[in-house]
Amino acid sequence: MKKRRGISTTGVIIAVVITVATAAAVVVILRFDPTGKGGSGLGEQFVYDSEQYRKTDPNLIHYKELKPIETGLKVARGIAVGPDDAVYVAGDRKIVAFDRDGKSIAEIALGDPPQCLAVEADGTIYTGMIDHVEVYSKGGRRIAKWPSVGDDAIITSIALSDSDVFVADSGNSVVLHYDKAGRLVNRIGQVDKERGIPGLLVRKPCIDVAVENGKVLWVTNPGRWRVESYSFDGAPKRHWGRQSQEIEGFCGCCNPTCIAVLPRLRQAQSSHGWLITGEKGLPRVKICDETGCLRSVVAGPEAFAKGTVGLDLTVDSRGRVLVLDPVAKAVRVFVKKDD
Amino acid sequence: MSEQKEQPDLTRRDFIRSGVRGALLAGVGAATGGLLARSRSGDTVWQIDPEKCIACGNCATYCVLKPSAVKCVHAFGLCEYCEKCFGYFDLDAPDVETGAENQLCPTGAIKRRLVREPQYEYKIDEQLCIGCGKCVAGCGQFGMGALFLQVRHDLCINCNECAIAAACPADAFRRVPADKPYLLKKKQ
Ligand code: SF4
Ligand code: SF4
Ligand code: SF4
Repeated sequence: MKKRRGISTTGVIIAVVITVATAAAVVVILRFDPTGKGGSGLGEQFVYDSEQYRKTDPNLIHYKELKPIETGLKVARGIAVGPDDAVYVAGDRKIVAFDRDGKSIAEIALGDPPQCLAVEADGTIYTGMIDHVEVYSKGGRRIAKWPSVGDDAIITSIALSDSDVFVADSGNSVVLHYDKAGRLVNRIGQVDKERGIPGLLVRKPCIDVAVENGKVLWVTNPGRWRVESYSFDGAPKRHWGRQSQEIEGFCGCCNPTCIAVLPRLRQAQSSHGWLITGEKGLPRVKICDETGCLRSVVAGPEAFAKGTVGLDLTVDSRGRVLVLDPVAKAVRVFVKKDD
Repeated sequence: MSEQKEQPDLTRRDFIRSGVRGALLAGVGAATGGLLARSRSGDTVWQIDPEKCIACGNCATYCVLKPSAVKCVHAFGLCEYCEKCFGYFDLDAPDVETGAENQLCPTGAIKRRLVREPQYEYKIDEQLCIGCGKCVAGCGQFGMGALFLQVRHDLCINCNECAIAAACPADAFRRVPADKPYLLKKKQ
């Protein structure tokens, strides 16, 4: 009898343990939510919802996308257009070039990882490394290596005119204006109360520069959510932009992160520059006129992977907007819908 | 030509900076001390990898403790003291002003203080924070990513099977050495 009672107690314990373990396993399996879409059980007020800003009114999108150009790069950083609308992309430790149809035409190996580049009409390439500029011939031979800009330099953009090189140094919140031989001419965009310059405010290193008609320098001032134009002597001309999540403004903490000047063929009656701007947070590319008024959306957030950061863009002589997408590692090509 | 420095393989100087900055983490110092006193060599504890966390909200509801042992922490070194903080202000806030209707945190756990025009400091009141991650999502999407979630080891009872880890959709929970119990966020 005693023995039978002992077996019975052990059996009960085992049964209880198995039941509890099974119940626990079932609870764990039922509660497991590999996608996160099952919901936390928190109320609406705890949910961060930015989806409304990730959809663009289709009536505002005047561009359509063509086949992208795959760069073959692991890290794609900067884009520029060269002679014959060839597309140059800087990334990894090289520059790769494609003809206007996307066929690979050149590859230049570099000693350092490039951050950005600009290409002359004759094919001469200026590329920005972290702290200095290097100049390459059309054939890929290094012509010059300019001295380091300094320990804190973070070069993020280069723009060219006939005789000038503008280098955006996001580390020091300034645009350095050089001649073509690499001699410093002046510094643009630094705080100057007398001239009414508030200074470039950079939270993340993303100052971009572009030259309009060989005469006007455009600079992003992302921490102030605006773009600013300067004459080459550093005198401020105009600025526009405001913070807003809405499509008309620049979103998040610091935008726009990249700009390009739309060629005149795309500007209705305007005598001033219309700009193409790119943002992060809500990755979107749009065109604004000389007053900052939104004229067109090239690509809304729905065109990019969520969280895309580090877009760069340029435009070719035909008005094709070329967006370097660092997530796709490709040049995304956008043309007007009516083209 | 934007934000090239945010990409990891290049940012020697940034990386050094971020390492220093990441260490300036608010809120976990005292807790670390307490844990060190308790821990033995070889012990491990649960922690959230902030680079994996998608701020899904489960940390607030799945912890066996109520309120959760997970809290928002703030890496001051990553923060830019923005006037309009996307972890503090609701996305649709009409004004950059501290009225409750403009605040994003449902429990009012984030405190804003003017440091020097136009810079503001944001601090988490841990008594009020439930670890929902809403501010983490806002700061991550539109700000500097200076806010993130961590298991607070002055609160956590170090369950063998962490209930949040089992429910985490991002596989963000892992065991870390008890003498290095926090995973600090680095600038990317
Ligand atoms: S459950 Fe995972 S993904 Fe969700 S908030 Fe917690 S750590 Fe982040
Ligand atoms: S929003 Fe959520 S995670 Fe952030 S401070 Fe408030 S309660 Fe904590
Ligand atoms: S180990 Fe336990 S107490 Fe700690 S966070 Fe996970 S469920 Fe909460």
